[in-house]
Amino acid sequence: MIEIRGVSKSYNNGAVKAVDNLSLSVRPGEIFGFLGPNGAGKTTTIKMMVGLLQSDSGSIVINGHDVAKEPLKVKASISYVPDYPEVYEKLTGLEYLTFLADMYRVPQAVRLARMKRFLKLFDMTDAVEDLIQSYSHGMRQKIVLIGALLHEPEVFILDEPMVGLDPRSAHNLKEYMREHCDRGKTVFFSTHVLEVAEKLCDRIGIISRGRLIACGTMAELKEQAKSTGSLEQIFLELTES
Amino acid sequence: MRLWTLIKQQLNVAFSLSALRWYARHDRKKIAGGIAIAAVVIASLVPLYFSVYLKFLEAVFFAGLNIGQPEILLTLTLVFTSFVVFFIGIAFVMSTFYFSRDLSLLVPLPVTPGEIVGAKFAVVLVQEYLLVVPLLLPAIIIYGLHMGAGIAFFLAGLVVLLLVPVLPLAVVSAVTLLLMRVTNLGRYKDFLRLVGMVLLVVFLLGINVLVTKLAPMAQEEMLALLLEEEGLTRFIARLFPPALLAARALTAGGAASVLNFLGYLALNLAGVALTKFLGERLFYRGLIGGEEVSARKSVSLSRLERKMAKVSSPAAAIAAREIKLLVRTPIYLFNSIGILVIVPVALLLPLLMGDAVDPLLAIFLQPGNRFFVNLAGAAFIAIMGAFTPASSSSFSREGKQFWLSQVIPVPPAVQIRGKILYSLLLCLLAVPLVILLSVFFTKWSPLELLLVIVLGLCGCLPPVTSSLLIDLLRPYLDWDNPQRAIKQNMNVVLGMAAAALCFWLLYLLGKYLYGAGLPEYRIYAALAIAALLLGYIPYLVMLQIADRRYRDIVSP
Repeated sequence: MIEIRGVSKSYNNGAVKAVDNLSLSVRPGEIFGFLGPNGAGKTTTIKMMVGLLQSDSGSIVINGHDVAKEPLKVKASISYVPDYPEVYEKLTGLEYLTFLADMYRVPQAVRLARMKRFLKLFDMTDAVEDLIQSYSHGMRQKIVLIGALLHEPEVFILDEPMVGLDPRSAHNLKEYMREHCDRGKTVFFSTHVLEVAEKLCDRIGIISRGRLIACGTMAELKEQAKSTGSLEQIFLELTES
Repeated sequence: MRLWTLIKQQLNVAFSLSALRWYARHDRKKIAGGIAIAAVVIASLVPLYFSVYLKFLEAVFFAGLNIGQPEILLTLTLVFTSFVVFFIGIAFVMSTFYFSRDLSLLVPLPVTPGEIVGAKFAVVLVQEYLLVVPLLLPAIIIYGLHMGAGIAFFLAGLVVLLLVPVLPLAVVSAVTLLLMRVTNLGRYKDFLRLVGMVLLVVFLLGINVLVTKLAPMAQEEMLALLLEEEGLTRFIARLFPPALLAARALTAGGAASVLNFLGYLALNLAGVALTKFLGERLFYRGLIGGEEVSARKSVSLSRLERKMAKVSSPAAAIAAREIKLLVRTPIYLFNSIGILVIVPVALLLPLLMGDAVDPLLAIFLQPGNRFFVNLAGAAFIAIMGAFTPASSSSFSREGKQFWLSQVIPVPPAVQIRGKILYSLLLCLLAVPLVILLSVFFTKWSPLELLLVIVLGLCGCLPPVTSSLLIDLLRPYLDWDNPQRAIKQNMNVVLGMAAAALCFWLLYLLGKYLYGAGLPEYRIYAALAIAALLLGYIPYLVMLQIADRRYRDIVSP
């Protein structure tokens, strides 16, 4: 589970407030969609959750461990897929995966089974021995996704995961996210694809100019926005100002 | 017009001009920090520059003046600078032309390959001026002042100075364009390119030695060289004949100056035209195709499973990752390991081919000097270790992928141990060279050889850990071509300075213990322990700050 309490983050010596007193919680077994316009603070929030940025104030607790105080325990129980898959271009896909399996100390039999399963799921078996530099954007995204799933994280954090994925892979990812949460684990992802968020997420948070302006199930969002329309209409209304 | 726009844009990116302007407005601390570090590096080099290089130039001038050939100073520095431009240019040109991240943006633009090559050539040229000016300008000033030259000389000198890197770079560019075209052969292209780069350097060194060997060695011929007008100048210029035209353009006077200058200018323009010509025809053919996937082999599931099931400890996995990335990136390999090939070749060629050094070698290898020979062998390994920028760019090379190191649940201390392990493994590459030295020259006994190797590897630790510490403190992650991570990275210079300091301390200790009359084996032991201690201190500092640094570094 994820507990974010009063988190703020500024850039340029306080001139730009990227995240402003953000609080939200995500329960085990939940798919949480994090929406917002460009520059709203989604990636900054996610980077603070995974330890890539330090918050100015507030706390982030994941699976009972504070990100600032016990970063390694948090990292061992989460996975992160960034918005742009910058990975070692001069490694093969397989070398990248075994490297991550070593880093997360995934036992031999388990890594073997999971690699085979996910490579097949994302149709990457034939390409896994090629250098990553030869991969398309979507293939890079898939190898990062597979690497992130090898240790079966308690909390799966993804920044714009659908970008670049072909329709089948996007479908398989959505299926897997649901299956993952059905086992009591958590998925937190940002997206601009509102249809995906509407259909897939148990709850949705909308952030604008660093502040959480709405949060809840689709029904709760409709109530908060006093709207009966789609998530797209709610999003446009809430972020209009 | 488009070329000029491209050049401006390329220079802007290469020297981060827009970023500097932005920081000047929004984050002056960052600029001040950069200036302070640059100032420290320059300040540490200035005494050496004045006390050694400028004094050497003065001495050369007066030596030349005494034999009636003062222009030797200009010829010598012109030849030397051209060679420096050439050697440095090989890696610069290859990385700037072929490994810049912006190529995927430039190639689809409605510009010709020749224009892209032209803009990239301009970037390398400007970078080379940073070397050419401090090397050549003092020679022009010294010559001009002592000869009482007028303003016309200094103006001509300035023009020649601006032209000096053009021809060597044009030659490097032409060779690189050809090399990249013929080596664009699927999966082995990186290896072939590395071999090509090393062979190019070895070939140049070979020519150098060969030309020197062609020198008339008889006393009367040497005397003729000294007495003949321009004799020594022409002799030196055999290494790089265009330098003679440049030197004469500055010194001949009258119409001869103008003619020589025009000849030099024409050669440079021809070099640029050749680069443009080859750029138009070969650039895309060497570049495009580089990222295509080779035809898929059928995947053997049993083989895949064997590879998948391979388990390593995190530190070993990190060391293996570093080695794979190094081996597969020609620019890294050339800069890190190429030096281990080039330096010994540079040292060995004259030893193998020359007889002038034989008496010196014989004195050095006398039985009474065994102790010093052993120490020199160990120092050779340690210095080779310090020369490879593998550790001083270890964090920087991760670049935009540093986020991975930050999110994995492996303590930074373990990751650092992996990097130390990898750097020490690279130092081991100097060991075969030492064995070769033993076979051909020093004839060490097995025990002595073991001593030399162990002591040398102990000596590698201080440069490795101090360089890593420097790179951890200020990693340069936001680079757009791999060359910038390893060569245009101040950390590499700082790392070498730290290594030099460590070696100096070890030298002082050795000198003191030798003076105190300690038995040799005790001096070896004391030096080994001191080296390990010197290496351990930066390691301890890294352990203290690693968690904080891994948290605070903002991945680009």
